[in-house]
Amino acid sequence: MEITKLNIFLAFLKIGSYSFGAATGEVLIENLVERKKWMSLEKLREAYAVAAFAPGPYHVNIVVNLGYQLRGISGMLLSVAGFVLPSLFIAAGIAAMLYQPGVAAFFMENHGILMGLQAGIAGLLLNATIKLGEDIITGKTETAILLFLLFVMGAGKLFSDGVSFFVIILAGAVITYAIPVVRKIRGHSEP
Amino acid sequence: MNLKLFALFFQISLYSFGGIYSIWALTQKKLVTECKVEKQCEREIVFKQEDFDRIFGISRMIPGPRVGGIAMLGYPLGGVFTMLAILLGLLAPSLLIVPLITKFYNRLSHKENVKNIRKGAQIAIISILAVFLYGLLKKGFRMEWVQSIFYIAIAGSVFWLNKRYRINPVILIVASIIAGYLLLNASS
Repeated sequence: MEITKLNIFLAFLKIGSYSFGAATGEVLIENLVERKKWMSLEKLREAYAVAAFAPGPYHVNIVVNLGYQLRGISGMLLSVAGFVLPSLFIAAGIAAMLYQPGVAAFFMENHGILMGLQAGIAGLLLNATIKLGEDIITGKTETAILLFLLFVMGAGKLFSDGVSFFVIILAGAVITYAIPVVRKIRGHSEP
Repeated sequence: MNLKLFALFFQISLYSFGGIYSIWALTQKKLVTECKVEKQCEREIVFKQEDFDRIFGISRMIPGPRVGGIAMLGYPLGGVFTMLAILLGLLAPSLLIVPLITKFYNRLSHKENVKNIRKGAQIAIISILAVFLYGLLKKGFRMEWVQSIFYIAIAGSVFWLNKRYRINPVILIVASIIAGYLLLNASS
């Protein structure tokens, strides 16, 4: 499909209307990478990295980056508009009903709806994680770095409020930058 | 008031790194917790904890970015326009900052030694997604054990159907909501 302004808006309108929380990744892969072939998985991974360095809502940052890459400022505005419009409409509809008796109670009593939704999100997220990770985590070094970063985040959760995303990304970047440098220094001194 | 809310949520968005939960936490601090002790609060706009919790819970069932859910806080104050003011306040920092970072990143990414940096950043992304996943799975174990098994079964089947048979996420999401209503509601 051609990357026109209208198509960008429609694509993100669709993505915004059925991507829930962490399942957004899988929806983005399916729509933009696999079906429309507008970008590579690599570009999507880069969007995730760039988005973590900006403040604000994470998935909105990702969409801003993708829209900007697809078609500059206008692509960015159209993609964000498409992405948030469905949620705004639905939120307005729910808010209008919420203050009537019974509606809020229905959502609170039927906790299973939310739990089912979250189980579904977990399943989709697992798939997205594998798709994004399988050509990145290829060897022992990468696995070791991944485990180290997971350990850091676990420790951060235990001892404080948790570690911020961009600290983790920065740590990963510093490690992979340092490895060839260290190897070079050792290579010079050993022979 | 809409302008004040726009400015307030612009500030909240600007100060919160690390996704939607830090935005919720900051909103709660600014508009609920700080205002419990009356003398500390200079704001005219205050939310009750129970209203905040209710909207926080329901926002998870709204598709799209969770900022739409946060905007619901504005509805009782001034209807849809106030919701729009909150939403635009939350979006504005992203729209201003992300293009600049993207431009900066694109300029650097062609250089050779940046490739190493990029690799580490991408490994970090995978670790962050894994932590999201852990958080979602952990929720499943806060129920009774029969329900936990159902929860894992739903997550597992969604994963398998999506991976193996490439079934559309929309169908899978709707199916898991129905399955949750039928299986996970029982004794909670």
